[in-house]
Amino acid sequence: MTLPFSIRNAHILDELVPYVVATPLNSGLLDLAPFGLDVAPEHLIDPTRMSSQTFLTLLHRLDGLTFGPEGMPMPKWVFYDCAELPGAIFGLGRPAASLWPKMRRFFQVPDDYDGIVPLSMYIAIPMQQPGVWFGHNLASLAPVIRREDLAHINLRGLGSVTKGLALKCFGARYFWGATQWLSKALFIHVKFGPLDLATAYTPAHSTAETITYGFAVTDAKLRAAMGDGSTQLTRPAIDFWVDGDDVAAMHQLQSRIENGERFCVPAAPRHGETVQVPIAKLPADRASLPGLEPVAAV
Amino acid sequence: MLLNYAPILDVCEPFLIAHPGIRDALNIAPAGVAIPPENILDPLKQQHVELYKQLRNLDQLTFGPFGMQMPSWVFYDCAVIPGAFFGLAMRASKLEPWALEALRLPEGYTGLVPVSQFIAIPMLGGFESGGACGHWLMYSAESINQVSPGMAPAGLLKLTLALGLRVFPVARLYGTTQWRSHKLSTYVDMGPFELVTAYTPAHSLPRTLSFRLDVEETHLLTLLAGPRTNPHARPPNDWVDPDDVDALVQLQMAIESGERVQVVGPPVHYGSRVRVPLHRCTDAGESRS
Repeated sequence: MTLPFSIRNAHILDELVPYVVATPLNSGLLDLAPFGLDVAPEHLIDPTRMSSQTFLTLLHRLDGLTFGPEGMPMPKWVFYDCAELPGAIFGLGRPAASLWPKMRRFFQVPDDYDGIVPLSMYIAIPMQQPGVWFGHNLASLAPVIRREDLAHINLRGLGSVTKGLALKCFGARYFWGATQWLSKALFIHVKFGPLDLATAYTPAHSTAETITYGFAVTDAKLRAAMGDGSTQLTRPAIDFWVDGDDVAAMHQLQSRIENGERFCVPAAPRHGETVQVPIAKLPADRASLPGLEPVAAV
Repeated sequence: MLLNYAPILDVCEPFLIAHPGIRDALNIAPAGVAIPPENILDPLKQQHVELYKQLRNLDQLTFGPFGMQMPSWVFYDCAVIPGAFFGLAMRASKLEPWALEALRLPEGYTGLVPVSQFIAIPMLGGFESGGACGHWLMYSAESINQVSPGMAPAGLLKLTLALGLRVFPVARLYGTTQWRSHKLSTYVDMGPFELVTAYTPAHSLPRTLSFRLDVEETHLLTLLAGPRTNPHARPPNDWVDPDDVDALVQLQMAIESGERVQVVGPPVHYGSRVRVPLHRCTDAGESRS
């Protein structure tokens, strides 16, 4: 399978095929051929059917393999209540019959299972304003493959490709997410362009050192994030940096946001002895924050 | 109808956690019970830190025993940003000393102490008509009385549910609960609801049911009145034992084959046996004999 533009690692789509988890009502509102990449009918998984049980168990294992070591595996009820019923899951996987043997052991794939095995997933749920989505889980086995010395399996860039195709599949026009200042996931998120900041310090989140970030979704941004070199995104100049451990700076930035100033993360953070996140101040007349502000203000 | 529940509002105050982008879609005076402006919180602002701690505490107390405590990030990512959080709270000064101790409130705290919660988030299918979302998933409804009866007034869960359903613009309500949950009786007081799943391996607890209900004003009135038999319910033509996994699987298979199954009444207990009344009919509407 190929996309109508180049991506950083086209090999991914030689190895993997797309799948979607959504209820029948939800799937009718999705683009099941994002950028022309068809989701085969047998890879459209209905979470309300018993026959989906093995696949959904494997999906849960993917989450555990990806986040388990960091203590963030998602309980199955969260998958069901906060992903599968209200929204959708998009990902890439490989038929069990052709899955690499070591991977098969990781996933504990049942011998009699001949369906698809998920190797990446992106979860998002709709917000109240039409076209606005909140993404809460990006999982990719690519880091695990590197960690386990499976160098012959080249899935570099799997996370970015998965998120790009997922947002196209969901029909997102504006996207929001939350992540921590120190998270390496910011590297992936800024590939989609400058990230508007809705919060810089977030006590409502259990980890207050969380940012709430978002961007208007365009095909150009999705293509750029997936590695289409022909697409260049405009990024504002950096005005200052925030140290990922400097809580006082986060408070200060949050206070400025609450007072009506607008900021974005224009580019990737610098990870060294400290983590430094670039910030750009946006013009006062900068468009507001769709989904998080009243419609009239958008 | 609310008169019977008035004592609750003598000691509890409604509160709402909703960012500005969703507030216009919500009713901040459900059934005429105005949510005080100071009790409408913006999760995008750095305030109300202690209240958020208390909310996590309430969730831990009510869902922890079922192994379903909300992971810490879920409150933000899957509740107050995509949807909103409604609840009733008591002032710390109105709680008895044993309750203050049980809730591990910091000494001198005088703010709101949440005693019930109702969380709803939009469902993608609710945008089918192209307009505002009318389908909402209620994925948490709970009251402190469930784990500590008497800490808050009786009837708290029903009132929270009835008001919560008026806060959100719910035309079709989706929800999940466990077959043996005490809340099944409360939910069925809203009216007979249709099963989306009867046995749910996708959930942490497979003996979970998923349901949908088209919400009407009369449903909310019957919820508060709690009649022995809901006037909208058809007579049962089958009963299911919620402890019989095989029976639940059979029911699930029937739903997947196109049969429509409604829960039409509260569970009935005979000693250690429980039976839930159902009305089953074909997709064409013919009742199962």
